[in-house]
Amino acid sequence: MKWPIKQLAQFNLLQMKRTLTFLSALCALSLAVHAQSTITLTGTVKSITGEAAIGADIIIKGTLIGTSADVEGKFKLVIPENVTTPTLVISSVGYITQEVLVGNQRELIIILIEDLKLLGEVVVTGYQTEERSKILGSVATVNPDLLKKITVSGVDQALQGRIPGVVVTQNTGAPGEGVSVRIRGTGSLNSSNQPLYVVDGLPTDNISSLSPQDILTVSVLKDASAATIYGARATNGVVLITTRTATSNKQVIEFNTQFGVQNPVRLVPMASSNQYVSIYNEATTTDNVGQPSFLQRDLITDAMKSGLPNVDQVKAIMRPDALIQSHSLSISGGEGKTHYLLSGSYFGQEGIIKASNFNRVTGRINIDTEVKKWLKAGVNMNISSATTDLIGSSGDGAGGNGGSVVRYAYFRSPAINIYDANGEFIDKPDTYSFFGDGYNPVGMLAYNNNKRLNDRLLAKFFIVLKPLKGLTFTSNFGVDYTNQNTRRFDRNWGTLNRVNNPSRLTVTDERFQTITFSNFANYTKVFDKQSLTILLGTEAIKRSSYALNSTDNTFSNQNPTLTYLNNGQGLKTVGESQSGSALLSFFAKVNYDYNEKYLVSATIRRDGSSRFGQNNRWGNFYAGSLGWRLDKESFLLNNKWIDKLLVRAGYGFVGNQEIGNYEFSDALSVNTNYPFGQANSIGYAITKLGNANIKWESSKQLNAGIDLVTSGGKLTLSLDYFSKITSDLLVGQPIASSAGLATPPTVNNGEILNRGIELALNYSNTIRDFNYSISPNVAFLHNEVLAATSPIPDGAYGSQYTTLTEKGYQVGSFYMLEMQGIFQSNNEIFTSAKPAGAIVLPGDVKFKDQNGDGIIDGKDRTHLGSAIPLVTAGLNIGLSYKNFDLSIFFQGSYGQKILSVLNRDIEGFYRPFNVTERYFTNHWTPTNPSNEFPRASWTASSNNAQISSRFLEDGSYTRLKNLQFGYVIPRKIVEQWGITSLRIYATANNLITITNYSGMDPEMTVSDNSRSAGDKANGIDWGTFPAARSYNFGVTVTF
Amino acid sequence: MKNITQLLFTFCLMAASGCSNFLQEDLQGTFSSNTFWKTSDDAIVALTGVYSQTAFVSTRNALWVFGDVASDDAIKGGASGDIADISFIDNFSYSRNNTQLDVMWKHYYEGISRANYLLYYVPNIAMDETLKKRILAEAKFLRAYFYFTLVNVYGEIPLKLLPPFSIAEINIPKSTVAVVYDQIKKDLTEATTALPNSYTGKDVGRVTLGAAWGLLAKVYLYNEKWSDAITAINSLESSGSYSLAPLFTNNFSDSLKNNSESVFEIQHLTNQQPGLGNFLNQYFSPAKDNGYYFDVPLQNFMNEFEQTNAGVVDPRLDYTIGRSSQKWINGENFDPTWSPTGFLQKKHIQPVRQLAIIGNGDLNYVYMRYADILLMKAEALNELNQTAAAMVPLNAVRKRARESYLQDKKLLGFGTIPANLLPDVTDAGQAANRLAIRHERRVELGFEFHRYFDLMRYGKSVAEAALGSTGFTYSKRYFLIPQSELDTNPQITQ
Repeated sequence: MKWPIKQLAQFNLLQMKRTLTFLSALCALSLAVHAQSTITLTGTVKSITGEAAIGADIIIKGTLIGTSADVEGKFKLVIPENVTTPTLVISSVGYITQEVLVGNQRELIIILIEDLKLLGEVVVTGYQTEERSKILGSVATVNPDLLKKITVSGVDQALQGRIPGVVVTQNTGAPGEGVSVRIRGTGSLNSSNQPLYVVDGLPTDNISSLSPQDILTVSVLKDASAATIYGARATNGVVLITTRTATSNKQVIEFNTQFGVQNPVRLVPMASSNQYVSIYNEATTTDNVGQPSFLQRDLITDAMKSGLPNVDQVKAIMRPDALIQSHSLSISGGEGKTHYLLSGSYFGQEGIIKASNFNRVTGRINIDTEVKKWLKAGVNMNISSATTDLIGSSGDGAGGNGGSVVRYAYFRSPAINIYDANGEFIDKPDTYSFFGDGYNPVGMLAYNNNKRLNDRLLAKFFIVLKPLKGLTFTSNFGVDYTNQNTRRFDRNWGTLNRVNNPSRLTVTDERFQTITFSNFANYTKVFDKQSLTILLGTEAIKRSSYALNSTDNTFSNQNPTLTYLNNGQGLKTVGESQSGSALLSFFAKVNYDYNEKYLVSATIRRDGSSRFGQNNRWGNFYAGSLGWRLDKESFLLNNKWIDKLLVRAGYGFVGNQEIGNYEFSDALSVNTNYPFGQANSIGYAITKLGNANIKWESSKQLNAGIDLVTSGGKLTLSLDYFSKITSDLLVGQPIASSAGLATPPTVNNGEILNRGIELALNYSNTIRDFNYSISPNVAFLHNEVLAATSPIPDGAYGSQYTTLTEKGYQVGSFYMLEMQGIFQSNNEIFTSAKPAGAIVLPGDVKFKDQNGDGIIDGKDRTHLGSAIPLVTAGLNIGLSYKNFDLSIFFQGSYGQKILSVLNRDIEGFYRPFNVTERYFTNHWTPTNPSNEFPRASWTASSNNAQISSRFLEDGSYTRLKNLQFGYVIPRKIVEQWGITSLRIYATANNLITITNYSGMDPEMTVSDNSRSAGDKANGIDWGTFPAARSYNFGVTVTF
Repeated sequence: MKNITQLLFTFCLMAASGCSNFLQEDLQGTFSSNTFWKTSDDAIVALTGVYSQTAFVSTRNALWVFGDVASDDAIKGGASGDIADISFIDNFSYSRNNTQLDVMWKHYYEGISRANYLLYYVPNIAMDETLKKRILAEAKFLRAYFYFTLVNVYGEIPLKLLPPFSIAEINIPKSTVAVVYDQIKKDLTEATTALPNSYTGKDVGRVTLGAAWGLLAKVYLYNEKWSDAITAINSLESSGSYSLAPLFTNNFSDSLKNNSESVFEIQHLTNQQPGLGNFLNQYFSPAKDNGYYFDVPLQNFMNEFEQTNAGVVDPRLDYTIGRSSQKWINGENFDPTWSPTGFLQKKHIQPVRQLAIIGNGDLNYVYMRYADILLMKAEALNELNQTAAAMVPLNAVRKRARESYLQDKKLLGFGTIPANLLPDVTDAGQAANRLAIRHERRVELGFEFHRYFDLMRYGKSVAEAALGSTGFTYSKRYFLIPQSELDTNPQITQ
């Protein structure tokens, strides 16, 4: 029996069920008297869209006899004589289990109906699930299969490019490194603009311990209507994740393995030894003019030149064909009323830079049991153990994990060998005045010893009570417990032992604990044409962290087996710290619809946070939204092309409390000591300022959208407009430097607008055996600071700020001098503005005199764009033909700027550092009047190497993020091996990047140096760990 | 059903009733202003925190850049391009983003902020009144010390006397140089009422009454209040038994710290946790000792030293600098290729007995010593036209210098003062005396970070003559306030 797709799509779930019952009845009625003999049935199991339901189970009801559908969805089944009125039970993951009376049919076509709850049509939205068609907020879901295509350690990273308005960027390419996720722009100024993650109902701010293989659903709540239910922590959106559970008692064993190799891409070409010598001597000759002899530099003589090595220092730090692998095994099934899912996985990644590694082992147990008809209980537990070998990634060596080896490698002269004749590392060469005195990056990596062990338990115990029809009461008790140990040994080595003198060991043991206790009730009532859902609940969260750290120094034996606390000869230190926070919330939500045509929803949440002073603790947040299903109106009911058309709009008010735990208080630190009477005396000083009046940041969010399904479900479209105004921004605002060095207080300052349009399209079709789908998504974002009581400078580089967040501009807008080319003649210099006091010659950088006062100074700085992209887009193309499948995934980001301070090192010419090949080839000389690269001169660096638009570049890029080709081995073959299905595939990640950015990776936006500044100082490239291109091979087997 | 409703209710009630306590989280393990400033111990450790900001433990105390490198005594030195911002200060081609301008500004204002906290809170602590007064006096002296340095480097600066509690205390416009000086004098004068003449044992190194009079004398000298300067110096001399150390180099020795010549001495101690050692030795040592050889003397400075007809040079020359064919700190021969000018300074370097001492030295920095006081006295008396009296303190300094030959066994010809070496200066009239005194200051106090400030107070013609070869003009005598302050403090426009 064939059903017109159009008509089917119009039925809602209930109607469908009724229809099916009706269908079965119809079949029964049409039964003729049939003979008692074996019946050989053949059939095809398909989905509504005609896809074969591979592996669907067909079982004769009341027996153990059954079979499975093959790759074409076909099956053959013999019904024994003793079965009277045979009924088939057809089940398949993702579809509603169907029963079909066989009657006198001998060839069946069974159309399975997608189980909307599993396929995202019923969407997890926070303390409840909602039918997709009734959701009024902006909620996006991702097919978890897509997330598994990319070989990455984290679920968050795999979200990149999948959802419009969700901008995911990798902080650095270091293994195990986190990602930055921005939902609908940058609404906050404090360091956390990250969304809230909720894993199986437990709120957390870190999902690095989850294995992507364990994920069942991901929903992203983007607007207030959707997110207000998470009130206090929802300003920046919410990512809800549920993990897989067993849906039936059938045992399924699934094994995934994937391994590949990674190699660096887009390394910046650097000058060779000969080129280095040439430009060094050129600059020396230039700079020596008019200088007294004691200020003159010596030239690199021909004698010195001969026999110089030519070392590719950047390549030398790289690990070619670094291995990346992931393996996982899951077993699911059930006994009686108990279901279980057990899984274990391993992810291992060698960094493309030597000495960096990440390894993670994850175990999961999800068990639920129906204790009584009205009581279900279970445990979801994720245990993970991760080891990270960290290498130096801080641009200027301050903070973080120490100086960036990438940066050191870039500016190390090619004329210095890595090893001396004895095989020892050369650190500072004798000829350092010619070739620089930077560290040997290969040596730094060889002696690197910085390991982080992170063990985490994320678990919840839950009970669900169903006391009466329509009412469920859920109680979640969750524990998120992390134990982290960091050991860093800075080995003393180098010329005259100058590196890390004295040697130093730092050991930190930390414990983080979050206890979540949430209790909520959901009540659903369907009246005649109306339906009502009420959610009511409370949540209490207590977080604490504790740390013990110890240091020792001056180790006489630096063998790694002996560099432990107490083996050092220096003075030891210990420290202890404890910190806690609490959040208490009450919330309610009401959904109502009339005839599924007119829909309304309202949410209220009251949050109390310990992070604010007693008078500002409580905040009330709310949201409301309306929806109208136009396709249900009589005037559209009979049209042929619209299957669903929902118009929705919502408005809400959401809060943010993501600041430090005690921002209301100032703090003193010990260790400002002084030696009176030649003895160490303890000193105290205020090192952090407090703000007793600190209060909630809040945002008003408006969202309007359309959901459209046409062409018989082949084309879906979702279009959203949003406008979000964040007020009372929580910001650690730099204060006058004459106020001292104490960390400035967090204050409420300013207002930010994020406004945009998001569009997601999906078109899928089947032509005989050929299936294809094209899913583009795009988001446009306008980010603007509407008010700031005082402009907020940040992005400190040396002594200067590089960004300014102020009214009328984007958050973290780059603010600097604007380069206007290169001075070509003395006449041009004479008639142009210059920095006061600077000696400017032809070949030097010309800056724009923005205020026209004839002098280039701080007042000529101007806003020149920010790191926030104006447009982000993703495009997924999926093709399949018979057993072959291909997916192509592009992702891009447009309109953002990158400030390359690394280029200042390798093109700024302020020290005897190596230079880029492009600078060497193109720099200004009297015969090569470049208008882009100034002359080679150290003395001119005071002018030329100033932070200016010279080092600011367009960071737009389009990336072929993932390409995957797969093949499902025919069932006939694998069945012989006892395998249900077997797919092999090959994947390439980061295959092509199209960008004008001159650095390694336009995606790198966060460095250790600017991390604490958050989004006020993104897009500054200090020369961090680059991303890799990888080629992987994988196998997925189910038994 | 009933049970469940009850359960739900109980949960809600539990949650609601527990909320006030549930949300209370107190700062753990760390003092805040609420828990600090309660006892005399708190006052003492907070005062130590103020002192610590005077030290040269980190690279951030850039007094030498402004006092020496910017002057005619020295250039930046070091490897070409190493901290190029120092050479931009040296030749006055720096921008407001210069890191040296910035670190100096922040470092000294941090000291002021710490003093301001102390002066705000300590008066309310119930404790021994004598001790309290002394602590307040020490803090006032230190605040004056920081302001005196800042006002001489930057000129007009914001005058902050309260802790940074709110924008009203933080964003303050510039005050005139005279107003800053008035506050310095007020602080120092008040400090003189409660400071002791000297300290013993574990208090050695604190601000003495003599230090307060000495700094006050210096302030008056800079303000050309000559008789006030004399008064202050007389008070200093009556407050303690200051005398010149027998040998010039005693002032730069790690074994003779805080000697009788010391008036205000900044304390360092090697191998401590946290580090309390002197960083300057790494900055000024040659590369072979893991140093950066910054702040290197110029020939022009060499030339200032007197020489007898027989070719015997003022012994202070070789006590102050290393040069060709002379011995260096550890007894080795000085190699002129260690420095771009062929010279290195010695006063802040101690013998490298162990490598750990590099960047973590034991030498104190003597900000003010009695020889400085004597030369100030000579200058003030001369300006008051008591020219003959001015010669007495001047010649005391010269006498000690020439008598090195009676004290230092390492000098060739030890035991006899070479003929005509550093003879007493005779009164030759105010103008000539002035030159003699200025000359004596330069050779006696060279590389003690005073030269630039002395040149500036000598006036336009002297300063421009000395620094003419750089981009200096007298209108640039005060360095620009760093851009970071302009970017954060809207009260300062330019």
